[in-house]
Amino acid sequence: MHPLLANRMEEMKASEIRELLKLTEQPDMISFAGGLPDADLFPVERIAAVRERIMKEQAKEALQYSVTEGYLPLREQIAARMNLHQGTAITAREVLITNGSQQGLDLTGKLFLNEGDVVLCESPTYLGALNAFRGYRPKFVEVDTDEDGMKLEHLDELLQTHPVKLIYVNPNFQNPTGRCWSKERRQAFIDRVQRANVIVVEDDPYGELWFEAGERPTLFSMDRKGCVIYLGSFSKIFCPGYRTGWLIAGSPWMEKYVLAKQAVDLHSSTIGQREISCYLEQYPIEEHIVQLRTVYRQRRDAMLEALNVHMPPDVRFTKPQGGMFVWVELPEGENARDLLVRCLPLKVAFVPGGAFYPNGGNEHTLRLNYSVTKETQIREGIKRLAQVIGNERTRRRA
Amino acid sequence: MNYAGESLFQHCPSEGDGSLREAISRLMQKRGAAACSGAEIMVVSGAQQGLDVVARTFLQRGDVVFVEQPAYFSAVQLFRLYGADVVAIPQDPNGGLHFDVLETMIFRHRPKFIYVQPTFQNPTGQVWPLEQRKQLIKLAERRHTLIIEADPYFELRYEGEPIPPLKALDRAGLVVYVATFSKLLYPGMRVGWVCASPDIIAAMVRWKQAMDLHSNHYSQAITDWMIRRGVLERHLAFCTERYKAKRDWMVAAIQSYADQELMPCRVPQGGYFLWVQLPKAVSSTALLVHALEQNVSFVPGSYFSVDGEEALASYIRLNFTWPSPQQIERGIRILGQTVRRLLDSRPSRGQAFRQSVPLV
Repeated sequence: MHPLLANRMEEMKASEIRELLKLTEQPDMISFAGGLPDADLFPVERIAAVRERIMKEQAKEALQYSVTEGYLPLREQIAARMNLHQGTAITAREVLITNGSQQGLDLTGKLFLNEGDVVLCESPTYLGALNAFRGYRPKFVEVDTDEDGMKLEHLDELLQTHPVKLIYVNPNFQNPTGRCWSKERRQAFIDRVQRANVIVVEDDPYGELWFEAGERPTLFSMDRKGCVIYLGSFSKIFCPGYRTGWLIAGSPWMEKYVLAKQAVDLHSSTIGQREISCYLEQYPIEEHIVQLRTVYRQRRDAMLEALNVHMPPDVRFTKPQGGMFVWVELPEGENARDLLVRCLPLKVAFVPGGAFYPNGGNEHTLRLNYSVTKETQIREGIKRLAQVIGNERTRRRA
Repeated sequence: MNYAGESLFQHCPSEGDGSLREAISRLMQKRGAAACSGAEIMVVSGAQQGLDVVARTFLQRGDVVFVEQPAYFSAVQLFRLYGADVVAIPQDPNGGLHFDVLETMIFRHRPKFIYVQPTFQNPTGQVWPLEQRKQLIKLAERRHTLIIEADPYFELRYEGEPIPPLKALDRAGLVVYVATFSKLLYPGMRVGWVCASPDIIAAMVRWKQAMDLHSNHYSQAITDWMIRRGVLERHLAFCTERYKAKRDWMVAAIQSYADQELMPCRVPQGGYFLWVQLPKAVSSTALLVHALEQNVSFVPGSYFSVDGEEALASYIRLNFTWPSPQQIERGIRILGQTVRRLLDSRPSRGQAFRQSVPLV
């Protein structure tokens, strides 16, 4: 590393996987690698109308500096939606507009993490959260997970043996596994963390992208002690290009978040916030979300069906009830990075799973995204993937 | 073979077949280590087992191990399996170690040992000059630091005078020398050896006995016979001539299909590999994907990185001993073309133009 660079830059290195994933931008690539919403579904005409209206009616305000907390009507709309869907009773005061939930993660690191602090996370967990926290040089400790969420025995053990500062979780249709925590597990988790004096960061970008209705109370809505910081985002239910999300926290944290946000970027884009607010006022965003659920459900079905048909029986995968990802586990000893290198020439891509484990290992896992690929392509891609897995096995035996 | 046939299928000492150990000690003398007697030799099943015995004997969880960077990945992986904290030592751009930095690092980290490959290193093919070897030995003596020297390619020298291994300069018994017949004769027989001071050998033999009692006796006897009958020497003469020609073919192919500016590499004086630099804008893993599409394969430089050193991503390791001359020619032609194509297809010509797509 260059001697002038700060020590923290040691934690931030360009990864080989990113170099490989650049190749997925080729036009004929069937990419299960990204985690993007389908751009064909963006409500482009409505957004154009909103944009025109903003420029006609409030151009000066929309192009000016504004307050750090965010555009008040948007904060009120977010609070109202949260209260409606989650049964909470928050006000705009507890809502901070952020540049996507990624900024919420970074600000959280800034507020709470000293070098060496222990952060618990699911194993595997969202890579972007790891990257956001890494700059603050915490120690990541992974908590074992099963179909219902974090395993409580392991959580108990870690809470007793480690001075835990913060727990990062993604209970709804997790990135990368697509798993969703059971209601019982959520309750048990909240009971434990409320006794433990820790901060819980609940990252919830996919909560509204469910395929089957069900009871999925957010940890935030169950929290009576104010230990849960909730991160929401318009990226998956609207458009990620706006880079607009929100962070919900009570006192005394919110004041600190505002100070931190002000130091980082003064405030999020004024015009973007006003456009989203105007959209929410003029059009029912639920309509758009229902369309996303329908399309993504069909794609999930196509992917699971293709996996069932083509994969060897020793390849295991999750069956997500929402969100954008299927998680695949090959038999141990097989390597998803090598598999990716072999898949790319056949124009199929995915993300090798090792990157989702803060302490490495688990190279036999991989993440498949189904939100941007049409069903026929999904079937073809999975078929090719299965073929490469078969070829690799033959090659290794030879 | 002048052995009583059936004894070959019997057990032999854990240290290895006595006759083979004597033969190896004479081979060590030829390599310049005149003082290595048979008592300082333990036969192992290939150099990888040699390293494993070293790791079992010396490493505890949390120990620091120094390695060169780029480094042979199987060694790094092995040390990590034993819970070692593997630290890369900075390389002198002119080859060898950066000694000033190294001394400070030894002081700070107190490494259990330093793992090096001073002769035809995998992957760079570099050879440390004698001066540097003496310097490292002096440093090790001053700081009382153990050195693990891997030396699988010694006789595969295609030009220049042989330089004695660190073991030959080692008077304090600080060098554990790990070598093998895999590259000299045959990898399938799994015969290698460790050369170290008698007390270290004694400790290692206990492990060796616990691991597998001893290496395959029959393989040892054949290897012994090959050495004593001069087969090894004749085979080495044949191999060096052939490998030298292949190296020259590959270098010539790079010059004609890629030229020194596009893919510069130093011509190694021996060993198995060319370590080739790519233009900064071309990632070696991306190149590998495109190369595989055309049935050409190599190992990207990042595989040899110890701590995620980014600069290695623009290197590739090419083996020249395995492919045929035709394959070498075809392979290098395809690599040259692909590198050019990747360069030309960049969004903006001339200056490197990087865009980072976030992974969500």
